[in-house]
Amino acid sequence: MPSKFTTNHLIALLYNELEPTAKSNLLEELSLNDDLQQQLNDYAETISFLDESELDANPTSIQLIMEYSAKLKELEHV
Amino acid sequence: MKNVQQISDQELVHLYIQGNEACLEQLLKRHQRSIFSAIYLLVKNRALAEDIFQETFIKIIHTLRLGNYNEEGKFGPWAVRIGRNLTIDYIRKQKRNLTITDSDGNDILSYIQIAEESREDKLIQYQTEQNIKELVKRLPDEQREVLIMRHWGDMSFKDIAEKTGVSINTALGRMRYALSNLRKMMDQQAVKI
Repeated sequence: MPSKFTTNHLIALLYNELEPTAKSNLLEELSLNDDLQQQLNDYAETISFLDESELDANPTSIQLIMEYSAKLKELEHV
Repeated sequence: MKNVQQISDQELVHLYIQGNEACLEQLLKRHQRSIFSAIYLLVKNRALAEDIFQETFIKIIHTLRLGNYNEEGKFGPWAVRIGRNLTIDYIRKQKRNLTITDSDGNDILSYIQIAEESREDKLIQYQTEQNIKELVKRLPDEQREVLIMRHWGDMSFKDIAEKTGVSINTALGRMRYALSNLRKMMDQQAVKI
């Protein structure tokens, strides 16, 4: 029997945007449907690649922001 | 007092407003990556992204100190939105002739505008993140837009749907195609995940 869940449901699951009942039903379906589980794994793997590629701001930027905030605090106390 | 690492964003904001600078540092540590990534992926220039990132936090600092922050518990998405809006403002100033707008009057093309390759871009193309940057740039505009908004912008699919004037299913579908296309490109290029 074809699954009532689509790949859109898998994306919503991966981004934690499925409502609780739908999430529970989908998780149950995944435990029985190897094809659907494989699709989920593929999307999850691609998303993990995106996570690994996230960029960090330069530490100098962080330092400048902290200095700006500290200076503002000093001025407020003058 | 609890260790700052154990404090919620909401509490950190509250304590920072009261004068605890360490709380701002913790908020920066927690959210700098998603904010900076969202900016960088729009402007494609590290120096410019650093400037807008600093400008973003200056705006955040002033908003917090003036007591105008009211999105309790949602500091991350709020901060990313500020960064993204400042980036879009910058791009608008650079490209004043773009006139396609969404229902809110925002320039749709500004979300997906790809800055021209700079010399700096060429220099950093060998960095680790280059693979994904290049692949994301090759996605069709509407797919790239949803990917950036959802993955780096922390916007929900509902918010993206409203912002772009499509249904939630269409937004989800575009994200699905974006991920599938990225996967295909990675396989073709043998990019290691």
